[in-house]
Amino acid sequence: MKDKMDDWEKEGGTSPLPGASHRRWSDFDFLRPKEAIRPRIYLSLTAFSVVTVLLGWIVLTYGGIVDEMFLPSPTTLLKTGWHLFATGEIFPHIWTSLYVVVVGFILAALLAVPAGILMGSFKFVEALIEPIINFVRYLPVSAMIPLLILWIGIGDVEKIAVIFLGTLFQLTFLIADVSANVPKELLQVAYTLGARKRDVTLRVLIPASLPGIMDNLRITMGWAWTYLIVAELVSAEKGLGYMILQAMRGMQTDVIFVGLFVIGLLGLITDQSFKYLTIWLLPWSEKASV
Amino acid sequence: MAKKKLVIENVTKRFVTPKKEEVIALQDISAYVEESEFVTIVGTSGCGKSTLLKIVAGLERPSAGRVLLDGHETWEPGADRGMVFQSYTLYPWLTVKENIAFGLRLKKVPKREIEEIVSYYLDKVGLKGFDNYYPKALSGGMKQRVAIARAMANSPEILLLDEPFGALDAQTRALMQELLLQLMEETKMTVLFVTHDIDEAIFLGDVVYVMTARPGRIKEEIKIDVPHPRSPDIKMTPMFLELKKKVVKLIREETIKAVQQSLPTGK
Repeated sequence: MKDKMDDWEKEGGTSPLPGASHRRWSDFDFLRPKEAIRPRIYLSLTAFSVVTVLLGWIVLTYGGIVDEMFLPSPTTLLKTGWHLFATGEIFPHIWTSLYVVVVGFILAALLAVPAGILMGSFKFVEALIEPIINFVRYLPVSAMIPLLILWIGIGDVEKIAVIFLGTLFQLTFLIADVSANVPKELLQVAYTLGARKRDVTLRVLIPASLPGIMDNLRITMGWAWTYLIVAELVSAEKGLGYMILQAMRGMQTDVIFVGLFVIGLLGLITDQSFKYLTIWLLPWSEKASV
Repeated sequence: MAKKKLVIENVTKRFVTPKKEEVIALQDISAYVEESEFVTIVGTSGCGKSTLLKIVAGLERPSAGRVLLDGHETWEPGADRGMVFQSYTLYPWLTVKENIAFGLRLKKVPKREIEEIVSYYLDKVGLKGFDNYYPKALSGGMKQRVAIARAMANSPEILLLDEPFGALDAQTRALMQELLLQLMEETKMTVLFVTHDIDEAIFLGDVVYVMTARPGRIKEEIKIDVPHPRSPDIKMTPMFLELKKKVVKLIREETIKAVQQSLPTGK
């Protein structure tokens, strides 16, 4: 939102166009691509769309147009939410889901980051693992769930394996790309400063890849959430996906909606954490800006 | 006669394109740089001048011929041949100070000494007080000044510069040329400088090598007998303009050749 305001000011705000003093920026020139609009109008449009959705929800539910069984009213939703948190009923589900996602994701990252860096910059590693990764990358991990259940069972370990396999290959591939795109001149200049191969890898290639690695961790984390819910919908004893599935069986639409909100919120929190982690850990990066 | 610091001996570079066509980028190039001399190589784009510099740096291998530094054949890149590239190659994760110290740290120079060397060169390139800035906060001209300081701080035997001011605007470029010239007059460092800018080549060089279009060969070696220190005013003197006329003519012939080569032959 702040950028929009800045754009407006950068482009001269309400000052007249040069050479056409009788003309002013039109307030309603919406159809000119990539053009800034007044911040007041921008905010109004945003508010308008949010209010419309809320109003639609209110009218549909309180107006009795849609059955509570399909779409709970705002008050029901708040009540159910309050109940689930106040009684602590929802916490074991949240912990289980968080635990599975975080462990599975960290394990995948621990393997994918070094593998990706090597694959992107060393032809012999690329030759060794790229064909395998390119094949497995296109296997949807959801298709592997039955196999994983047969092999491992339906506990947390199976779901950790789903997250692990679901993100490992994608992440390796993405990080290989980051590593391959580190400008060769950055490495060459190190050689002319007296660096050996080892120095070039440790002191140039790896730090130069870090911003891209953080970016891709952030993106893949989003996918990890999706895989988790899929895995929990198939088989689980606890977790937010499981809670939603149980709610469906009991026709508790309100609980489903609370579950969806919580999942969305957790996703948003993890995403923002990555953003601030970048600012904190890589303040030098072009990407480290609020 | 001064000692020959760097000798390029019959260097040829061939490579094979993905279409399996053999291209001769450099053909039988011989040139030399004397101790404390500033030599420039000027040529049209695509004539292989950057490749030649990379061969001297040891970053690429010649198909034939060799490069001698102080009489010894070079095989690999090393700290004795410092290089500055046209693209910005500062390490964004290191501050200005740490960038300049990069080579010194690799050499395990004592900390106190590193501090001294870094602040000496920071001062020399006019960036005192920018020690702790990250490169992302610097302008293009400032980045290249740090890159020059980083290469010089390592006290190489020869400094290789590959169109270091190519990405800068004309005004900044002129200032950078003066700065570089002044630095070299003071430090007496040996320099091999590649550019496509004729003014730059003559203004900076003690000797200018003019290269032909692909395959790159040395077309002419021109001694620039303009005494040091040189001020930018010499760019307006009849002597400078005479030299420029000569190089422009040579380069023009080559540019026309290069354009004709790139036209479809109609086969």
